Amino acid sequence: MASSPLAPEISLNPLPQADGSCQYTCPTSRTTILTSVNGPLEVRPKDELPSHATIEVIVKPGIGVAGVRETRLSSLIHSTLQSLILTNHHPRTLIQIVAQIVQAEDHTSLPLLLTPLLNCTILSLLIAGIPMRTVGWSVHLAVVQGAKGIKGVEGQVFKLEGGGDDGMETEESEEVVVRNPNSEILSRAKSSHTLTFSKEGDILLIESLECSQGSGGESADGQGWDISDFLKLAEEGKRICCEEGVEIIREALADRKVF
Amino acid sequence: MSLDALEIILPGDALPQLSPLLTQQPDQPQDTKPRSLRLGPGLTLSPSTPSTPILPYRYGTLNLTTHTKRPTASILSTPRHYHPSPNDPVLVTLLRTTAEQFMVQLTPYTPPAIIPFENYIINNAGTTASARKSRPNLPIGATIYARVSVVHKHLEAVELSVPGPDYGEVISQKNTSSTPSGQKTKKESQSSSSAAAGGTTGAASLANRSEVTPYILTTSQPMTKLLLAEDTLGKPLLSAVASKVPFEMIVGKNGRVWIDAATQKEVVKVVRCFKEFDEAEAWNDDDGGLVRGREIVGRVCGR
Amino acid sequence: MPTLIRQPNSGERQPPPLTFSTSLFRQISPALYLQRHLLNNPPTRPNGRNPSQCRDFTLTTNSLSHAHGSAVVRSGDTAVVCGIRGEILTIAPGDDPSRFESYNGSPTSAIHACGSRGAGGASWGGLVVPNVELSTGCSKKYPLGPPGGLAQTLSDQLHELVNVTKLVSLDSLRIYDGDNDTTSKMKIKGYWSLYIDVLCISLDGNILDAAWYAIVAALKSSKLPFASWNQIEERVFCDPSRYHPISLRQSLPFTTTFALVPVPASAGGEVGEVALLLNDPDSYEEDEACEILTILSTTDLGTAQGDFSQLSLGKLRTRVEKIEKRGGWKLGISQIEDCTQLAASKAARYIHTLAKEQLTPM
Repeated sequence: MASSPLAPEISLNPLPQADGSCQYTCPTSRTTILTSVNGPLEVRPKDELPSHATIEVIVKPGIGVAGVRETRLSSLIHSTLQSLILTNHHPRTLIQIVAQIVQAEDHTSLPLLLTPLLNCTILSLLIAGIPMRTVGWSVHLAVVQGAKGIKGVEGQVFKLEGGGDDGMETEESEEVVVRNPNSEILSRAKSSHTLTFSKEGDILLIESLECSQGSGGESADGQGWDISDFLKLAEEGKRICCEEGVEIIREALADRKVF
Repeated sequence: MSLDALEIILPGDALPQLSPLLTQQPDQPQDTKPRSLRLGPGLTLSPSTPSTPILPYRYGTLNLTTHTKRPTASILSTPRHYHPSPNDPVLVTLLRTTAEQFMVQLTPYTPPAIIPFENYIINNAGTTASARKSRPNLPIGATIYARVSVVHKHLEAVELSVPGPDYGEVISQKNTSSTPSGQKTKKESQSSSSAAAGGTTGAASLANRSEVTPYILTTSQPMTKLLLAEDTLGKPLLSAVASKVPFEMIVGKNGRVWIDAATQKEVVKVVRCFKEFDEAEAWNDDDGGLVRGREIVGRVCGR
Repeated sequence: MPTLIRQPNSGERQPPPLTFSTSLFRQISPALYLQRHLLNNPPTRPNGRNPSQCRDFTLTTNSLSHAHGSAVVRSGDTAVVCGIRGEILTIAPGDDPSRFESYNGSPTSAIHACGSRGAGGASWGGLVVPNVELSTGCSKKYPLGPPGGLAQTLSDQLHELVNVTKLVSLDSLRIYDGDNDTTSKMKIKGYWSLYIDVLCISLDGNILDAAWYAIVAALKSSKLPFASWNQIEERVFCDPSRYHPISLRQSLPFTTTFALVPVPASAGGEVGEVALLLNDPDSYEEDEACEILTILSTTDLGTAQGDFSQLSLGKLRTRVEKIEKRGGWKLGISQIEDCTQLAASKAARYIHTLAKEQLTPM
């Protein structure tokens, strides 16, 4: 159920044989991820840890076979989950997480995939009842120069407060922040920021990169952002994750009976 | 199970409802002993996070019993995966017999559990299976109804026990002339058609039922709880199925349900009803699965 | 064996003196060993550095004779060799060359440029292709075999760095029809495709910084032969007597990696743990770290010449182009700003060393 146009479409436990599963569709970019969580399971002796559970994350791409990009995605998700899951509850076991990219506008773009993957995985872990220290949520923000022509859903496009010392900003030169951009907006963006925060406001993951187009070389001199702008953006991201993200989780879980 | 009254607790939530129980009440001078709070499943102590000294690690609703001598707090939630806890009655399959124990499978893809021979009690006199003569000769794949005795995260295997002749190997002994209103066997009842220990008495009555093989169904934990609570949660489904097809079942808390009926077709029908109900997670419906249960039963069992 | 553990300042926590050697302590309980060092006042690391100090590094360029450019970077015990080989990519008559000349292009063109995904490991195409290999003897943790998780992750990270920084000017890699005088009217017949191979000979933590620095240095020192299309032979020919460097950015971006290690908070009776930032971690610190932070930044040193160590970096503008933080939850947002300052000072040292190798900026 979506309370606002920005809320993702979440379907909990679509896979009845798995211990926990979730299907997540990003409302703007239509990226769809299906994750399944199984655990605690028996672990291979070579992966066994004496006093912790082993976490295994497998990311399967939408097109083709898994390559280096999927290994990188798995390792990013693994390090985020390592700080969320309480692994000392089930030592010498395996918690296996498989994420399948069902649909994506651009299968090669890491920023478009990372946020849905993380959110979907966190929801599956909650359904599976894996012991967790806290919950987290991830948001993807893009900074675009020139607000003209960006059709966003309500609440998606905003400006950071106190942005810079510009005197006059025309519509073409002002910088706006777009939440959950699709690939078309991302291709016009100056920078892309994937931020994951825990419910208490701790930073779990930052993947921010400069993503403007161009042929490189000297034309790329002068790109980048100031660290103070980034910190303002991070504060806004924190607010989105801790308030709206947790709200989305609670709403999604409210339909399930507990007994 | 209305959710409007109860709030969903997420992992990491601070629990202000518990703090008055932890500190000593100033207006009860006779209560000199500091009150202790027992933590049930779902809660753990977390001294490293000062904001949440008692940390919930699953999502669910807070279940607080304060009227008893020792107040207990736990998080009510049912993860689909079974976590063994002591005194659970479980239905397990024999994997192999070693020199000192039976190795059985509790849930798929987990390490096998063990039933040491000294915990396997054959008859009312208390004879254990340790002696070679009194050891039951169980085939591989046999179903055993047992009870969980020892569980600890650092122990290598979960230990089970067979505390008496009501437990042990499960063999179908159902009398085929049952009343049409349906007979359901609960785990607590000691009726003769439930599990029999040992393997000798079943052979004769098996002869006239050799064509019906009971089915062992794997269910998720919420479904298992529903089947065990047949008067409350399970009533919509169980009464709907029993009115069409009389059957007999033994429910193990590990998500294994042994189902037997008069004909093989009826066994399959019951199994299919349960499976569809489980996969659809119909207990999440507002009416507790009544409408969906009836629809499934009508479709599967015909008429 | 001299003990490095001194009594910490706080009166309540006074660990008893050791009865066994410190190297045994380090083997039995590496996390506690590191914590005890960091709880000292001032905090020191087992390798003797203070937390904000990075290792000294050495750079040698053009040591490989068959590569068009190469660099060897040694930073402590981490040693990385980078070789750049240019291959010629000819464009078929019907192809549109513009898809090669854009970093971070639109999705459709990226998919076209990729060709089939997953072919040969690196799942993308383009003119600049980095690849990382962790050679057999580099570390006990990485035995012989196909590239494991770390090598694959590094390859993808370096590919992302190449795309983010847009270091190489893609349109300067064009190969034209005929002579190079009037390029505007000439048809593009092919491109130089740069294969960047990074081989890690010895791994002692923080391979990303060393690998990226080696790539930048190797690119700076590369010289490609002049290539043009010969209409008679209908092939691209190279002129071995004329070499030109690869056209790069003016302002070079560099990465700085930090590890965060949890230490018990000792200030003000606070319970819990804080994370201490360690600049340029070695492999022991990386294993104990709960989180890793990498910042890719450029400092506009501009026309400042001379001794970089005397420069007051606070006044210079540092632009950040990529931040990656993974694992853990203890990093404070304000700590990122301190990291950027440290990154700027490291960048200055990198540029200084590059300049010393007598590489003239393009």
